[in-house]
Amino acid sequence: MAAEQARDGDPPAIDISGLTKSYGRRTALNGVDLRVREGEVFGFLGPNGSGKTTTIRVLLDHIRRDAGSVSVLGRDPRTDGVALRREVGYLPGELTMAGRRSAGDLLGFYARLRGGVPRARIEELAGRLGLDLRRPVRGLSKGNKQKVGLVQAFMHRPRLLILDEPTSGLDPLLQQEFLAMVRQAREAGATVFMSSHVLSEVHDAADRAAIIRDGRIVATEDMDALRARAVHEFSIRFAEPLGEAEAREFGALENVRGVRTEGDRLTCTVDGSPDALVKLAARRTVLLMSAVEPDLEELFFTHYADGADGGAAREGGG
Amino acid sequence: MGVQVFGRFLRERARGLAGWSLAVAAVTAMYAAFWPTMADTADLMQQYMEAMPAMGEAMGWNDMTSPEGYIEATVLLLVPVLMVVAAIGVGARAVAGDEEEGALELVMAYPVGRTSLLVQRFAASAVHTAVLGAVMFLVLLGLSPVLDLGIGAGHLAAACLSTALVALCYGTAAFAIGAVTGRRSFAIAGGAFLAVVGYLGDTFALTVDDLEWMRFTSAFYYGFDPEPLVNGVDPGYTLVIAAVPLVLAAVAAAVFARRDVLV
Repeated sequence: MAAEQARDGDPPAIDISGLTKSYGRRTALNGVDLRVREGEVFGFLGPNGSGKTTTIRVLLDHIRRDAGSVSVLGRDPRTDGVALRREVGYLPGELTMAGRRSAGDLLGFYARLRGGVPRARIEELAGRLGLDLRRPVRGLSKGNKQKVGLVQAFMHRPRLLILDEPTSGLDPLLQQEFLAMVRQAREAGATVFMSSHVLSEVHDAADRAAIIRDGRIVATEDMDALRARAVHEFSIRFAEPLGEAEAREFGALENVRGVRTEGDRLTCTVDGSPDALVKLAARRTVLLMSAVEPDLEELFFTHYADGADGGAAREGGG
Repeated sequence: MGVQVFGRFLRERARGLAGWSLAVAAVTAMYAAFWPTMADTADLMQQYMEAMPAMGEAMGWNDMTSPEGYIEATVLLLVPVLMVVAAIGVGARAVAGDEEEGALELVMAYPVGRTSLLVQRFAASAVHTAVLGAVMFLVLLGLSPVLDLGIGAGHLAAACLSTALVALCYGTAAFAIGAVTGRRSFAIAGGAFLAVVGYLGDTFALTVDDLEWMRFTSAFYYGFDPEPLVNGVDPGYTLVIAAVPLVLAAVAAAVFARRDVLV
């Protein structure tokens, strides 16, 4: 809902245009254009080495751009980094934590670095993620370190959350808890910018997503529109084997494609509602019916396959 | 915010600092404790040194028959080396080490300015060295009456100040190289190289006329040539080794504020 409240007139939470960055001869970012609306959850996708982390580090002023303009929450990170980072929560892609001090002690330090965060807030987040604050950070597993990283990113209720590969190392149950935290942050008006190398990690949470490849944004997509276009693959098992005539009958349905039969089994893809398919199938005895969730990643690139970069992007996407 | 980065860095070093303090105290006490034995055989030692003047000069021995001369030739030869090693380690860790490990990334995502970060880490490194200097001073001060050294507290303090400042020079060199390059290995290698050149420049190079200029590039020369145990603090030379770390830290801050971090 929050995303819809943000009108076009509102200044974007992140506004990048023509961003370039080279390391020596290697071009890391080659004219990135990206606008993230205030209050939306935005997925930032791309394979490793495509420029995701470089872009994020420019937003935080760890890296200085060669050209282009960058505005985060209305501020230029290069000149106004300290004030900007006060309103940002950041989860790095690779978390390093050492030392024999406890997770609680480390989070206490981060809280003081923010000018103070109520202890109860840290304990609440740690409780939600099942993080034991008394354990020394040195011995923590990757997943537990990720929890420490999530707590410090969310604890001060920032206006903008920048999360680099947030779900890596989290088991499925914790991924759900994480997504609930993201939704709550959005309901409270925060903007969430999260990167991933796979679409499936963000497709449940994101309002929109962009794909970066070779230092350039190759696609930006509304996730609801993407889901609406989704083609489901159906598989039906009947009590008796199907004949060729019956297969043609299914194939004649308006939104059904790719009908194949093999003995008593029929598979096809359905564009939109499966109502007609179900009604036709119900004339026979159905033993089993299943639908496979669409591969949004595939879909993402199908849409952009005509574009110059889309084809290349698709090849590397598998 | 405030000085959180300063405090945190020191607290993380607490165990290491305790270990170095112990080492400095042990070496200081062990060598100082031999003075009474040494005093009894001073004549013998003096003859030995007169027989090999070049050796004495190379090792930085002047006069082994006075307590000042003895402490200078032993404690002030070894403890500075220990403290330089400790300072280079901490200086290299302060920026480059944390940057390479990735620990700097999160701190730099917080509302802390780069200059503030650098100044706080430098200050913490300086305090680390100052603590070791204070340990050395306290051990010498405590042992002085027991061993009948007869060196005043002011002169002992002057020698320990020189030692700490020499260590800080090389520690800050490592710190600055790390802050400029972001590479811990460069920081350690650079700091160690300068320290070795400085150490040799003020000892072995003195025996070769052509290499005598080397002593002017040596913090050891500015720290110990005025013989602080005998003469107390030399304002001019002390100013040199106090200014060098500040200049290095300022250069480090200026470069660090402009460069890309963590690439």
